[in-house]
Amino acid sequence: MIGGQELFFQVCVLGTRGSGKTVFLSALHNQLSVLDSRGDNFFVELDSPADANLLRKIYGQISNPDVDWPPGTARTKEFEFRCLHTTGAKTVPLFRFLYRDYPGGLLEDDCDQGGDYIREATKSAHALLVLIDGQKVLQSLEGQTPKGASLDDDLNTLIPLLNRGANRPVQFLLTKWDILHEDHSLQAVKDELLKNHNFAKFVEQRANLKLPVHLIPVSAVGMDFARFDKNDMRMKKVKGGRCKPFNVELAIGMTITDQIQLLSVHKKSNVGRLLIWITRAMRGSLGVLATSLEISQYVINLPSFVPVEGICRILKDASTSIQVNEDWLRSKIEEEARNIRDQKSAVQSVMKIQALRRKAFETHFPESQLVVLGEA
Amino acid sequence: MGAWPFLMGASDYSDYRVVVCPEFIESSGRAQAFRNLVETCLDGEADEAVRSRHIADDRIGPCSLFYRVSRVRKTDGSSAYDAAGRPLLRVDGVVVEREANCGRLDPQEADRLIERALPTLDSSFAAFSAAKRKIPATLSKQLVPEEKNGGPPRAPRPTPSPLILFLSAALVVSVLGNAILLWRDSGWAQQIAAMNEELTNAHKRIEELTQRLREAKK
Repeated sequence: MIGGQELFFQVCVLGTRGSGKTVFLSALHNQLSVLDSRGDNFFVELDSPADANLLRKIYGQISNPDVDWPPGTARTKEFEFRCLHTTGAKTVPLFRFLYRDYPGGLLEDDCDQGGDYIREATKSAHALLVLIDGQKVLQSLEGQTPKGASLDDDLNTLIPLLNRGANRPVQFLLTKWDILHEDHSLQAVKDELLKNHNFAKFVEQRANLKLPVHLIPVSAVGMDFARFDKNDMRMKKVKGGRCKPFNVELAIGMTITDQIQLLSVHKKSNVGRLLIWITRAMRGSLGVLATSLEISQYVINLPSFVPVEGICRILKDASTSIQVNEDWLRSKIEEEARNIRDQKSAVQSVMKIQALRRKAFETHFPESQLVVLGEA
Repeated sequence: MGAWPFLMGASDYSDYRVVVCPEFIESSGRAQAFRNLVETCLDGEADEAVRSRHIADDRIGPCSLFYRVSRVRKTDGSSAYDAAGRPLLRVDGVVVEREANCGRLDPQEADRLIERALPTLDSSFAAFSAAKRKIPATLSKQLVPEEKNGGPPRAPRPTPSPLILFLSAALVVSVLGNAILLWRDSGWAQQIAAMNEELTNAHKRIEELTQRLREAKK
């Protein structure tokens, strides 16, 4: 709670069947379950211990090289993450985010309840993360015919859904980067995606609206854990492999910094549609207040202490004046972490750290920027 | 007590969905609620153990689901996987009406009902697996009660005659008694040798008695 309110962020993850939604979620939970003072400087907890156990169990099965991957998801489920920071002996809440997990097959169910669920989730989200199945990208790049839906089929299913979330930050997460990175560059992947008419139109539309779009390579298991078996046409685990997730938590940081950037650029024009931060009243304490806040849930402005200008400066300046590398990132994160004294300074520093990590990522993967903010 | 087969599964082309749905559930307009319930069946292990879920619904009445979660098998018996490398599972089961004050079905009985439903479920699953596009769920009818099934009557098990039973029992008692006596009186090797001999003799005596019995019957 910050002044009686808590920042609440709904993330809608769109991904077709087998793209890795559940694997991504459980890796995210695992990755952020312990505070990393050299990294994000926050950790997550789930309100429900049963949910936390479920994610731990799934991740346990994913990371064990001697057992099969977990079976596909059959039902919809929502996970609310509380992001916290420990300062001295005190743990302070920073913000919450909601992640919805569901069977990817629902995306194709336009007629029944499953389709309604996706439409509603897309409409109410503050940010959209779109998972692009790296395995299908690989098959498309190498001219293989996949079992089931192809990359084009997936894009033609996913992109029309993004119209419902128009003007909201969108990030494309390229999953299973571990099976792509050795033989294919991110630029080659980007070019392959842009061959899809709908994808190209969407990127163009976002450029016209001056809204940033990234293509973020991620891997929930890391670079040496799984391989794509071209004979069996399926993902297999590598004997003795160890899970080391790559860029998984970056997606959350990107959505936060997207909001901040958008606020700075679109402040006067259409900020109402672009920036949606929900503030919630203390749960269950004051019914009337809670109801009124739910009605006016789309609060435009971030709390005034959020260093919007400072964050934008980090994102802008670093690219021109300093050399962004691992050492730079580490020293900057340590510097920011030292500034944390209380809850407000924790929110400020954690947000700045997200901006620093984003800058480092953009420098390392310049081709990840499909549309740069403000680019027309 | 009526029983209706149901099935949920996934294939190369389709995500998890209800493939076979009891006709009475579909006609009551509760197919989605049924699907939501069946989806939770996949939370368990794919160990083929019979599990149950219970429904209390105004429109379809009190029912129980008895089901088994198993891996989808290829024709060579190996596990089938989807393109992402995940094992494909299927849930085979029956929806059983729970009449007022009616006790729950025991797992063996439920297992037998599922076995009876399998031919229907297998053929629907084969059609579902082969379909590259979404196909509607097959609606299942109530399983015909076993006694009205019209199949050939089971042959009764042959009962041994009382004389053979008596002679066998006497022989067993005699062999055991001798074994105990030997155990008491002699060393290990002797005991085993003697028991072997006793057993051989007993076997010969059984053969003789059986031969006599056959002759007597003639």
